[in-house]
Amino acid sequence: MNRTVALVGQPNSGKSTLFNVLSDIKTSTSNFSGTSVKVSECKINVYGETVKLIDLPGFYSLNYTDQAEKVTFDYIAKNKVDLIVNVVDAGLIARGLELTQELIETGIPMILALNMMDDAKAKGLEIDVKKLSEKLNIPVVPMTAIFGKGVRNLIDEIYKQFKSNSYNPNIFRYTAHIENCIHQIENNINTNNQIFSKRFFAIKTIENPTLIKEIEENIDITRFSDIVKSIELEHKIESFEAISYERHHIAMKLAEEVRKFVKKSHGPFSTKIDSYLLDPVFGYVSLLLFFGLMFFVIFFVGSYITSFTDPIIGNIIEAYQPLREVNIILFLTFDGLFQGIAGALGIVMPYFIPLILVGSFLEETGYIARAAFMLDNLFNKFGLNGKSVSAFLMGIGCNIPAIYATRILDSQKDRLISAILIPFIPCSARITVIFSLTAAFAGPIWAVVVFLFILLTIAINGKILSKFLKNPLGMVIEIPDLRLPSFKVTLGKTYFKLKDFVREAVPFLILGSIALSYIEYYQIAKILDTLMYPVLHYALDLPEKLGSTLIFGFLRKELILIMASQALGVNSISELPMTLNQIIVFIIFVSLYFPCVTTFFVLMKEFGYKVAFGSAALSVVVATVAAFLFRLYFEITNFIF
Amino acid sequence: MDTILTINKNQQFKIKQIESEYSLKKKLFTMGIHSNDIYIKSNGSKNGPVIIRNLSNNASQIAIGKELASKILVEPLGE
Repeated sequence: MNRTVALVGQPNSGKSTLFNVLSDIKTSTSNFSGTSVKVSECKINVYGETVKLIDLPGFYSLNYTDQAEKVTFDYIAKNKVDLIVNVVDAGLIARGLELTQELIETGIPMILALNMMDDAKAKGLEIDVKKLSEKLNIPVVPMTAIFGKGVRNLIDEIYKQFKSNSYNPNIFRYTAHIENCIHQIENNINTNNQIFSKRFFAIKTIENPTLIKEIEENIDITRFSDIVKSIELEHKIESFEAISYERHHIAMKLAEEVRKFVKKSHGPFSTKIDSYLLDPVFGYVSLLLFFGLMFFVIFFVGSYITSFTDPIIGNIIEAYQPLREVNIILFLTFDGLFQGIAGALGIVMPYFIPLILVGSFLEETGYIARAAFMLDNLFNKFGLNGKSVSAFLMGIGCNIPAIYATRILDSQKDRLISAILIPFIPCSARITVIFSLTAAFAGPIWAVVVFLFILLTIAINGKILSKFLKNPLGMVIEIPDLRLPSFKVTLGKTYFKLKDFVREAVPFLILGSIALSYIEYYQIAKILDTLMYPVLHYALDLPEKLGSTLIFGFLRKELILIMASQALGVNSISELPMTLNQIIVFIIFVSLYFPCVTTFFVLMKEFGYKVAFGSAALSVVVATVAAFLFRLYFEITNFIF
Repeated sequence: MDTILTINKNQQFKIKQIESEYSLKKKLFTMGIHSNDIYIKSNGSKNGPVIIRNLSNNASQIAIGKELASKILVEPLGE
């Protein structure tokens, strides 16, 4: 069996970047706490030996406080990790060493990768790596993973560690009274756990007894309650606070011994820009500018590209029409196949690529944490806090990672509200639908109106949900230093997301499109249309032929564009036989009803079937009511484009 | 007593007490926020949220929402 090496570290320490470099695979990373909320795995070659490399979500401590951190703890507690590579941001060494101590306490062999050395130097920090290694008695590898510096040395150290098979780190000692308590527990605790040391169990009995129950149910920690109480009496603080406080001071002391401040090579880029980005006035102006600019760039780039691609697609469709007379099966299959590919290339890609490119750029800068700060008070009004901003912004790209991203939220209530609201956020697929239809019919102002209306819908739903799920906890979030995004990394991330899209969505688009060709030909659509008839005809005044399109839209929202054209018998969406008022009502409905089948299953996996079905039902009701209100408004005001 | 919310921007301070529930206290500790270290309120108004930086360990900035910020009692320094 392959040996396992796990990359473990605090958020923003550069674990995922190191993982990318080591694996040469592009995984999504970003300058925002807790973006990696899933376990990534790959195989690497260490001098001829195939080793399983694991990238675990960033966490501040084994005493996890959210679901993303729990993923990391669970992995370490339940899997045999042969070697931990503790990635520490050299610029934040004092804080990083708190986790290092905790990891040493586990007893699992470890190497320290002191990352971002270049940044630390620029901040005026000089670290005596040799001295740190002696103090910890474990290998310490200085590196700047983003440029590949030091990575080869890390591989060498992994190899040496595997070869020597010896591990004797310096164990940090707490003050005498706490140490005495640890010894008493250590000598009396019964465990045959193969992963964690007895000392680890003893410390966690004092610091975080619930963690012990999660690892080994059989340990009776109540036996040690008197010992734990004695710490609280002696230190006059709660026991977890006493351990945490001492660990903090040991780390600070160690950091002071190994680092010194020298002259900074340049002023902190972050501080200067932050004074504008976090300003009560300029901050909001820049927030509006950023997202406004993002919105218009995507809209105009997308509509410019489609103005070239639409006529070409139309001409090709015209060209193969004679095939219908030759062989109908061949025609239907080819027509579905072509329209599926054309839909992906000609409709989806022009909006999707600019969207993920701009999104990747923003993630890389660290701006999203600033946006969270600026929007915290506003989000409070809707029962959430600024920490949800990242999940919501991620939702603009795709709702699925956004639902996973709710794992970084501290309370279950915040997670639940966010997860129910995220499906209302127009993902790239729905943005494509909105942009394509508004660009073809109504112009950018209506795209803005639709987006503002969706935001209002999310706000109202959030407000209502927060009334039922009241438990405000508030935001605690790290604001990482701003980074000038690397062009290469931004392009790499865009490529990764695009690849994911092509792999996951394009087959759906093509198969859905082929299926629709047959459905239309054999008139199966009529049954589906009849099912949707009451909603479409009576409530929304839309062509009844769109019924099957909307049902298929549940598979992938991009299908709607292709299918609406197919269902209504036109070559291009700009030829759809609908009034502009109907187009707006259609867009509102499509934007708000449930995003896609994958989101549904991810919701079910993360929150259970009740939440998944509840969320889907809520979205259909909200979409119908919202679209009906638009129809009513148009009719009452006699509004005609 | 002053809280992180009530003190002025750029004010240095020491944390005296965190009057919050266990889970958020734990969160603050794990993120390196402890009493007796020296901090600066680097951003934020009295309506929240606020950003603080631990000057003792040169750590990165932490943003804290209004509700929790009003529960962190502090002793302003240099007054």
